[in-house]
Amino acid sequence: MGVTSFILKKAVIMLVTFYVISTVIFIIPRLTPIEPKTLFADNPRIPESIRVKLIESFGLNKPMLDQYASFYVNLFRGNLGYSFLYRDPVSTILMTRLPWTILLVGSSTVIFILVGIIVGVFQASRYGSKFDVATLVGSLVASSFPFFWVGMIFVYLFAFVIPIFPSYGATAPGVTFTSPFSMIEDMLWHLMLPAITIVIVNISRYSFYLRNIMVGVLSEDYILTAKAKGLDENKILFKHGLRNAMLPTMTMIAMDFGFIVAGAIFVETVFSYPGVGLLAYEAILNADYPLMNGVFILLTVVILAANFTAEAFYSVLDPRIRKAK
Amino acid sequence: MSNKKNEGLGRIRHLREQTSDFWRTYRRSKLGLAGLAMLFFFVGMALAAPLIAPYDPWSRVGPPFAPPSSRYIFGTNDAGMDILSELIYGTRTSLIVGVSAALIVSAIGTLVGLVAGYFGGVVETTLMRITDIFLLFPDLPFIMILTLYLGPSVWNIVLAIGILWWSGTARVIRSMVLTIKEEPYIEAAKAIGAGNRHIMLSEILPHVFPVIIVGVIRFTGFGILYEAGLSFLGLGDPTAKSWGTILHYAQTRGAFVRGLWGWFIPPGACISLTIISFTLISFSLDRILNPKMRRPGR
Repeated sequence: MGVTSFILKKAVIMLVTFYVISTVIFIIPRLTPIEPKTLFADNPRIPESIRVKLIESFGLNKPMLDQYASFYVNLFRGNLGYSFLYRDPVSTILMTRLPWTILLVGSSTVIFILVGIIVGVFQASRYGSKFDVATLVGSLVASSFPFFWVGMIFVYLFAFVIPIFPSYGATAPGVTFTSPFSMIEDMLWHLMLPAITIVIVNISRYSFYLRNIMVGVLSEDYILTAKAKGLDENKILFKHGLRNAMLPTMTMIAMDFGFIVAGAIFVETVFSYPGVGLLAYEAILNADYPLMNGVFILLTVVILAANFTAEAFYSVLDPRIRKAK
Repeated sequence: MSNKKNEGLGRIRHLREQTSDFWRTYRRSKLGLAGLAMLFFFVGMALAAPLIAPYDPWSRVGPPFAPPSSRYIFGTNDAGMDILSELIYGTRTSLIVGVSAALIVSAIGTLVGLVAGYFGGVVETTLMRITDIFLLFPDLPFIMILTLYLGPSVWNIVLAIGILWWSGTARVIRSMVLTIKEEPYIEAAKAIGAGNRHIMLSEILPHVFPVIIVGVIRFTGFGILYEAGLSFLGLGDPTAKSWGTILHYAQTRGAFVRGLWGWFIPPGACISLTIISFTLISFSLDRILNPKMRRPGR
């Protein structure tokens, strides 16, 4: 199979997946005894003019099939309904929250993947040594910590016992910054604890995975050849070994996106970090049905897109994958 | 009749031999033993909850927000309930949720994997496409949505986990079945006229069983972690005692400001220790039951 047709096939699978998941999301509210109109439009917090518009555009007074059609028409227009809690269109709220999640999850993901890879490579190169066993036990313990619990301990230790970091938010409230630098400094200061939480729990999963692959790679003949040639050990590890261990690691990252997103929901909740994850928590807490649906659809799109990108990259880098299946 | 009885006895003897063989190997793994000891500790705590809990965890037994003391070892919560007693009863919820979710996951996954791998063709393609879709389902947000519409309940969580997580197991089982069904003894079974159901259940299933067992143990750990997480978000049954629920109230009712470490350190430690114990056990089991996975020492 050529690269293009492989990617096309994957794209079709992703679209079908999205279609199925979004249909499930359409159906679930309609399995409850409550009318869709009540769930998505009738709320005392919503102005009358908007309520009428919502019922009209989502066809909430019409039969189920019409509602289904309107659901997709609105979805493709980016209309996800109107939040009861924030009295704003859901899509607008999502767009203001998404950058924070990207900042938090993006920065910590890059760090834990890099550190995880380096630790894993060194573990594999010292397979069975004290260093290997000690880091292995350490990572086993760290990976069983629940995200939110690590976050809670950090809040307690570094925001209450030794108050050096803020306990909530992404920026200091009500402060006007004199320069862009002080604003960035404030953002980083708020980012520190939630990001470290994500990093600590995740590093070990990657180091463990990479260690196991690298142990296999390092027993290959070409590594022995490289050693026999007298190449530098670090060069062998990172240039010859890691290159071959990277491909399966990339798939792991892609398949892992759901887990990373779940982690973001917990961590943002603990630190009241104003990203999409906290939004999900607020939506649940306030029974804001349109908002929760919107968050779900956004997260689905993000997970599918990440997965698709990784698979596409993978198929370009490693021709073997296109032959499999 | 007596013949059948003898056969039964023989089977039991065989099983006993196998078990003691197994135990002899398992005993050598120190980490595995540590995991097992921890598991026994928690199972004991769950079973003996009414005997060892100092107070009734559902009623007010002291002043609210009491710090840890000799009377209330981990202090009390905002409603004056004893946190240690809540913790002990919470073990029950965690273990039951974890085990039942893992059983559902493994049952669905095994069934789909067996059928897909054995029959092949259109059946396999269809089932594997469905599996692919479930593999990409954003699980936590989906469970949040379900809870929003169906109401918070421990059983909704179990059900949702069961419905969502089987795809990984299905894939592994399918790929194993694909190899096993090419073995000569399967052909022999077919030749003497064994039916599909017999071959799948009596010839193939025992060979994938070790993988299923390891899977059940691993998913129990994940299930406990997820139940705790969802309860922490306030999606669990508010009246059920669970480690996650204790943490939820610690977070929302100001345990940090009051410095009540007894309210949030112990529940998280319990969650972590149970998960570590399940990881250690599955790790050791994996090495005994799936010897192909054993890595040669370099």
